[in-house]
Amino acid sequence: MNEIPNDKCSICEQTFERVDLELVALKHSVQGYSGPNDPPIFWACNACATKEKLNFYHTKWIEAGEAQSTKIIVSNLFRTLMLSNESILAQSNESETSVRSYLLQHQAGWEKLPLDSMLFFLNLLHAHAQFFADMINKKATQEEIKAHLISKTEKAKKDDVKKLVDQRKKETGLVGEYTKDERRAILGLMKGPMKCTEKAAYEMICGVIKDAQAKK
Amino acid sequence: MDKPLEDKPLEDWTIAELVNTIEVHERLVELFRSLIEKRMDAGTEDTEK
Repeated sequence: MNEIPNDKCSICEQTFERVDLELVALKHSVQGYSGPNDPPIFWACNACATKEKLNFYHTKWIEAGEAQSTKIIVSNLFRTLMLSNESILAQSNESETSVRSYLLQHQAGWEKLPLDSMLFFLNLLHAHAQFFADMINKKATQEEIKAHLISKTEKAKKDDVKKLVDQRKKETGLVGEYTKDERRAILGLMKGPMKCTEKAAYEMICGVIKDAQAKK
Repeated sequence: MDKPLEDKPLEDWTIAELVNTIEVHERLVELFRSLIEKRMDAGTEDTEK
């Protein structure tokens, strides 16, 4: 790859922290582009990258004319182009957050679009969502879609519980996973005059519970 | 590793991939809708001034 300054936006030429720049790879040649890499690859700030990618997509869409199959390919290209972060982060099971954070991160670029472009993309994306919905309806039965959505919701719930447990652990400084009562008792023993370790406090509580059960 | 979606024919997409794509599109639709509303509100304010 040719040298690309990685602290400067190639479009607005302002200097940014590396974390605020992204590598834009347009995958296809752009008419009139004469940069060192073809298809173009360049570093840009989030705002410029968003605008550039939308402009690229807009042009490709118009070029596709009436050919429906080309349009669908372009549409899919757009999705992967806009959400390149998504596929990277999806591997760490955080795709849900990444889409949202990607949109937030690029807000400045989205907000600078002319109104007619916004309307163009609104109608287009709406039509595409409908297209994919029709496709899934043809491909899968309602039961299969339902089963997928249920498993997705269950996974999301599990993730929420895990997040809550991790947050509790962080707040209390405890390493293990406990019920509310256990946590309270362990913290009491750790902070009390005995100054127990977490492990000792937990063993003590287990002993008390065992004794109580034996007495019954 | 799975092929990237853009290299995969649409008929080979799994239900999960289709559902995720619909969700992403819907999120983008929401984004554009809110941007347009914001722009319209700003336009109305400018006219009122």
